[in-house]
Amino acid sequence: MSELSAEAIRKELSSLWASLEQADEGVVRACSMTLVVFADERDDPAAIGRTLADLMRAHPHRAMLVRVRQGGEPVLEHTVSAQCWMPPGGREQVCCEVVEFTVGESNLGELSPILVALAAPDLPVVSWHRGARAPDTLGLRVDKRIVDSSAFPDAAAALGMLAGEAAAVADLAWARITCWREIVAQAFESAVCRELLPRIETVSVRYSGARVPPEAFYLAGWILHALGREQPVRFEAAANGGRIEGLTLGAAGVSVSFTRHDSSVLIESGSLRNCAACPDRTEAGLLSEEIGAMAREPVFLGALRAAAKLARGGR
Amino acid sequence: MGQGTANPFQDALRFERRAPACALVLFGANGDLTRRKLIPALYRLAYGRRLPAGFAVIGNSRTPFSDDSFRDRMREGIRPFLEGMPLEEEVWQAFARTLHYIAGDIRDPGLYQAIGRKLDEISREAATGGNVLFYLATQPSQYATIAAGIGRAGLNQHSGWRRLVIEKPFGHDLESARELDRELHNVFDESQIYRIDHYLGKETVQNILAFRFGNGIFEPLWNRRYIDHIQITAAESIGVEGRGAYYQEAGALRDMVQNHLLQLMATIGMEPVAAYEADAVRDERAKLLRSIRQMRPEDVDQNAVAGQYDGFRQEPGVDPDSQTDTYAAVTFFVDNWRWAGVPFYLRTGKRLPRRVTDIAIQYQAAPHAPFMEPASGAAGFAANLLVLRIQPEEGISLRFLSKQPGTGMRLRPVTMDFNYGAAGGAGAWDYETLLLDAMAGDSTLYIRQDAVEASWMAVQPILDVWSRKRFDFPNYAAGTWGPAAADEMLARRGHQWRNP
Repeated sequence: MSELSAEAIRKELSSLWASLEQADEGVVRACSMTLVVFADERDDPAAIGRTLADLMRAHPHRAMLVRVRQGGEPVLEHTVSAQCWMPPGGREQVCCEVVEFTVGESNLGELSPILVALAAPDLPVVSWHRGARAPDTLGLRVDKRIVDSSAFPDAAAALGMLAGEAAAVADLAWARITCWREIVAQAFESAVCRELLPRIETVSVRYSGARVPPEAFYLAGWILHALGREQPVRFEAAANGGRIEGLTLGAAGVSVSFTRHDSSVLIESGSLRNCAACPDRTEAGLLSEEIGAMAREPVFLGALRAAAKLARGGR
Repeated sequence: MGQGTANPFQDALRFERRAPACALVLFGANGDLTRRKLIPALYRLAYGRRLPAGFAVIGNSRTPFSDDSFRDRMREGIRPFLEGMPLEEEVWQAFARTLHYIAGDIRDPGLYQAIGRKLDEISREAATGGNVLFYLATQPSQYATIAAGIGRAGLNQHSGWRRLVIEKPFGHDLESARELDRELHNVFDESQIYRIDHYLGKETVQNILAFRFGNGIFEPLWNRRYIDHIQITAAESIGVEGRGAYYQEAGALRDMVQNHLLQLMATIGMEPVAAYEADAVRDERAKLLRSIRQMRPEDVDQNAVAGQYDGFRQEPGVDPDSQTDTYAAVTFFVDNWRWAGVPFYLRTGKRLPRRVTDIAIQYQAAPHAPFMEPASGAAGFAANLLVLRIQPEEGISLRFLSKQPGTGMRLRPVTMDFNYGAAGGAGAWDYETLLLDAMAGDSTLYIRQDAVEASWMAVQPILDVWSRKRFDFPNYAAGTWGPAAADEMLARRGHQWRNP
């Protein structure tokens, strides 16, 4: 295994830019943050590449992709490349740097000083822990750590771990329900629906899959946090395939229900009937939302605590 | 928990801003603006979950449609204008259910009675709270008639809010602008009137304020001590494209300079605000416009140039002897402490080499140059230039001098570029922003009457002189940067137009 240094990688990046700038059309360097991605070596590299490429259009960044090899001999390899695209109406390509490492799990620590030295100066650093991976940043100071609790086999354990984290964490499962939350909030803009709020007796979340997904716990947790009271929640299995299939908030003789229908959600309450778009979102879209919300979010933290409590309760 | 209780499900940090419950009454619903801009913008708002649950549109024009045929027409009409947004069936169906239509002549009092009845029905069924936005997507000559009809039917006042949106032009000169204002104010007070200049809704125009007042390093250099002059260019490569009849009544000075370009100038030149609030921002814009020095008739020829491209008179609907300006360039001065003596050069035209809108702030050269001349040898090339690009490549670039590689100390200009698109600049459309603002009661990006009048006061002396003058048109070839007289106007002060 050859010795690898941040300085050597910087030189490679400089050569890369020099070659890009000699191309016929000019290039614009863009970087608004550093994103460190921790993934398993077996994860589909094309899928990760697509996600990073899409994400860069909204949040141009220096990407450091750390692909961890499970077991075997220690290894530390790297490549540098550029991700470029032509913005609409543009005359110059926009390019971002990608540094990809393959590292053995046993010598992961060797990467720590390199990551620290390569983080773009004076800009935010975000880490994304792809798969069922604890948000360990190898000593790199980050402004936000992003996980996806739905990738963990045990939602209760994943939510409990996040609720116990002191530093800024984010969860793609939370971003996945933003659309549902907006639709619920939109329905309760109506004074008629808002009058039901103190009388809500039942909260039912319909989900699909063998187990209650973290998205369902988040949705229920967020409702309880917003209502500011403890309330029993029913989680009901449905069969369609979306992580969340529906939500019903019920009071005596009346209810507000939200039902997934393809890529939209049908809202019904008495004579009120509406439909709102709620398309599935890409990994890049979810990451983009989390990166766009760097401030501390009391709503998320409150919902996370409530979701973790619901998950601990089993149902 | 009563009606006044806040919605506990709101999440301001995550959710996009949303309109409150309301109805939108759209006059001119069978027109081009409705089909190309307004309905696509409303659909995009619906798709993005930014329209309220209680929402409805009442369209009006003279053409008879049923609700269903109006919905079908809108559905087919907007397809080419969605720019990649999917026309999703269920979302469209839900949105289409909010579309209603009432045919009628705007001079007929019965039309307004019918609209009133429909609004009552909608208020009950969709719980809009009686909030209504009247949008006049009609010929400007119809504004006063419609406003009067609304007023006579008592639709301008209600326990809910009532607002009126109108599109430019706001009059065709100072007097007609004031007359229109008097007629609108007979029915609506100023706080109810929203005058659209869609330039102000552009992300990059709003970004000027972010750039100037969100950063600490630029504002100290934003004044006569450091800035030599400012150029604002709004160039179009196309001609009048079938709008010859309209355009020859307007001309470039009225169509672009009086509104869009002067609003850009006001945004560039205004003083900082204490808070980003509608009246604070509009006060400062209006103050800047009022500070523009009014030209004396004898100064007009030195400070304003009219042009017409070769071929304009052959456009359909255009008078073969037309005296209409398809190009206008003006030198304005602002008489205040910040800008005294700094020329603002504004130019706009059709059939210019490329479509581009930008603002170039030319800084003064360093007071002493210890180095050799720049490699180009052109003294004017040396000074720092800050360019705010509005369209099509939105961004900001700063030109400065750096050492030319090699031995010796020769300098060359280099550019530092920020590309808005490269930094994830795919924002809202201007009409989405403006419609949402009007529904939300945020008039920051709308023009107040005092600014309208101040803009007309700035251009009125030019209009007066030009109306008495016979130009030797055409005076520029299509695909060039305008008449030679415009170059001479700058050359008299030792300046030259940039090639943007």
